[in-house]
This record gives sequence, C-alpha cells and structure tokens, in this order.
Amino acid sequence: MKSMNPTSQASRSYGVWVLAAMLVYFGLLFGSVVLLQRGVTGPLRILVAVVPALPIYVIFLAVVRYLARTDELQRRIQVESLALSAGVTAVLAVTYGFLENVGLPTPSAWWTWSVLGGVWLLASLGLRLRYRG
Amino acid sequence: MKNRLRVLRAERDISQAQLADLVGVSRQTIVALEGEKYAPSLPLAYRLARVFGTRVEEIFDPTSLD
Repeated sequence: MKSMNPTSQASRSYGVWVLAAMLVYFGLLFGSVVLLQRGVTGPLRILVAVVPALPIYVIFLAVVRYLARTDELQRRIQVESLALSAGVTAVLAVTYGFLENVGLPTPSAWWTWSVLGGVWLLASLGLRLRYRG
Repeated sequence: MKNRLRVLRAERDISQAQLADLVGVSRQTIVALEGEKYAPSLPLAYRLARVFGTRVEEIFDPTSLD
C-alpha cells in the first residue's frame, strides 16, 4: 500500500473538497438560473441569486486549509503566486479606476476574479518550474 | 544551497518518494532540494539529518550561501 505523507493527504483532501464544492456549485447555479427565469420576486430573488456563491466560500476554506497543511515549498509557491496575483489585480483595478474618470464603462465585478485566478494559475505553474531540479 | 542529499540518498538506496514520506514533504520538495533550487527550513533540515543519522552541516554546505 502506498504511504501517504501529510503533504499528499493535504493535496488529496483539497482536491476532494474543491471537486465536491464545484459539483454543488453547478447544481445551485442551475437551480438559481431556473428560478430567476421563472420570475421569483422580492427578497427571495436576492437570496436565489446569491446562493451559488456559497460553495465558493467552501473552496476558499479549502485553500486556507491546504496552505496550513501542505509542506513548506508548496506553501511558498502558493503564497508567492497569490501575492503576485493580488498585486497584478490591484494595479489593474487602480489603473482602470482612473480610466473610469474619463468615461470608460464600469466593468462587471467578475473581471477581478478572472485576473486573480488567471495570474494565480500562471504564477504557480511558473514557480513550480523554477523549483524543478 | 549546496548539499549532499543525492549522495546520501544513493548510499542508503532510498528513492526521492521514500525520503519525501520519511520527512513529510512532497517529492517535488526533495527534487528542489537536490537540485539546489531551494534552501530548507531549519525544522526540515533537522528532519533530514535525523533520517540520515548525521548532522545538518554534513548535509548542507553553509559556505554556499556566502
């Protein structure tokens, strides 16, 4: 039987939680879209619209748990990647914020997640290559 | 950081994955250490020294940091 060190267990646990959260997310998203299209009104409409965000909170907690349980190099790679992605997102947000002052349209809040997630992924892949022997 | 990890591991005939399990890190971390791309924390350095039954200074060369 293959042994499982704490880092492997952390990776496996993270994968299971993220997969489960994504499955729930797609289920809630489908239900939310259907209910909104059927014309739910009042405070319930807000609740139905925001419910798909709940699994994202679970993914956030899974990331925090992974960072606490993984080994020092993996933690370093992920923390450096997250710092870089947060910096890029902040710089772009400030730059575009100034451009809004001269009439550029206010974009959807979704772009912040796209930039943050994209740079996080690319940075973690790049850093993994840096630490290869 | 220069080190003798690859030599010590070969002398004891253990794989990178086995060493990773013994000290509780990923195999990628052992690869990075052997490739001298990463300097370990003090606790990890001591765990490695305990596995090989030697002293930290006999695994890692502190002069390589100068």
